[in-house]
Amino acid sequence: MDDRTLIARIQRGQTEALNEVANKYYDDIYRFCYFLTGYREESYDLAQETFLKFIKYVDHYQYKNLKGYLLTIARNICIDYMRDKAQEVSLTEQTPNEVWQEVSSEDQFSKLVQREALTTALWQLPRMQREALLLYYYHDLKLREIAAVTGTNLSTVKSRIRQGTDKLKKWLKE
Amino acid sequence: MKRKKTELWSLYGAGRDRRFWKLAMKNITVDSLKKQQALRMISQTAGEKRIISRPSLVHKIGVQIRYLEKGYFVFPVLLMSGALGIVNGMKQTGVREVELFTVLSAVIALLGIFGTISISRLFSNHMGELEASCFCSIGELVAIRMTLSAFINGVLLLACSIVMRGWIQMEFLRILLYILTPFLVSNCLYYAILLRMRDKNIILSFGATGILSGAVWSFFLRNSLVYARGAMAVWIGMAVCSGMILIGEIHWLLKGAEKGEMICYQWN
Repeated sequence: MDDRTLIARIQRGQTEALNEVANKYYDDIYRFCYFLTGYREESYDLAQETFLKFIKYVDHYQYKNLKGYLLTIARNICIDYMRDKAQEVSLTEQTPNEVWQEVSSEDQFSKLVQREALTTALWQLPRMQREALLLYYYHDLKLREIAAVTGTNLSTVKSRIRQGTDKLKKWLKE
Repeated sequence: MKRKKTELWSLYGAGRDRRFWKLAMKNITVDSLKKQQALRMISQTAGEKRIISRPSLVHKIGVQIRYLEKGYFVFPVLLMSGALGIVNGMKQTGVREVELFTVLSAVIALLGIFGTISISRLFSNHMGELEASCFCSIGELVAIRMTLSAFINGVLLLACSIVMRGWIQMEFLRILLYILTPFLVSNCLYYAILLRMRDKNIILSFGATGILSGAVWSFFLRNSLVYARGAMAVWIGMAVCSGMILIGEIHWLLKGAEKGEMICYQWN
């Protein structure tokens, strides 16, 4: 079922459609929170809070881009959380490494080396650039939508994406 | 390892390839147990949620169309049809093109009255705030009525320009300019009255202003030099200036309508 239909159902009073929205986007929101904060456990709570806030304000929501709207809420919640914590993510400490535990063949090992290199490079980016790249390349948001989600202007988003990709290019070549 | 990284760079173009991101995201696994716990909590909150229905803009406009008297749609059409009928009759008698525009401008000066009356009626009987409902603020009502009026007038002016283009030898944009300018200038006057008047005589004032403005237009426009190519800059200047004033007046009106105390001060 597409997002527009889901929102129309919700606004007609069919609250079970809220569960469908949560089911559909929970993983994406969780991963976004995790990439933004670096806290694996807390990101479950942050993702949950995102949907609770969405439910609270869904009456006022006018359909545009549901995923973009959820990402905006998630971003605000994550930033508030990090502000409360008063600390930025310690990137090297937070880099996930549990994937190494299930290596059983050489081919799998090679793939995991690739993944690890990519993920490490991503985690080394500053939060703003990581966020912009994530929204653009993974969540498929348009530049204008990213500007709206992050509360910046178009040229800032472009510059963050360019600087981020330049850094990734440099690190992956080294 | 270095070779692998170089391969990665060439393979994924420093993250520009979306596969890069899909691969990186695979590293982040979602614990299904924790996810289910979160979804249960979300489901519980969703079950308790009572959705308050909020109509869409299209629905709001539809409701306002039903509330508006038919006269607001019929009179402008009749007025413009009548004007075009007179112009056509004059054309048959072989009068100059200038004379045709003079008649048209005088009538077009009256066209904006219907829209401004429909807005002024929102504030009738010193009870502007009573028009607001649960779904539409007074500002939204004003905006919707203005949009409807702009739509009707826009269609009529465009139709009039197209008809005139078929009747006389002149560029379409030039005809549009000669038709649009009297409309904008007279609307500036109507909105100025709407913003200033506080008594019941507002409709009389609209009528008097419309007739006076039509008379002034037809007097000045009788001079054929007014429609000379050299005078185009003056026309464009008038259209731009009156358009800007009108935007300012509309902004002021909407701003005032959104603030309750301004409604009381301005119209009550």
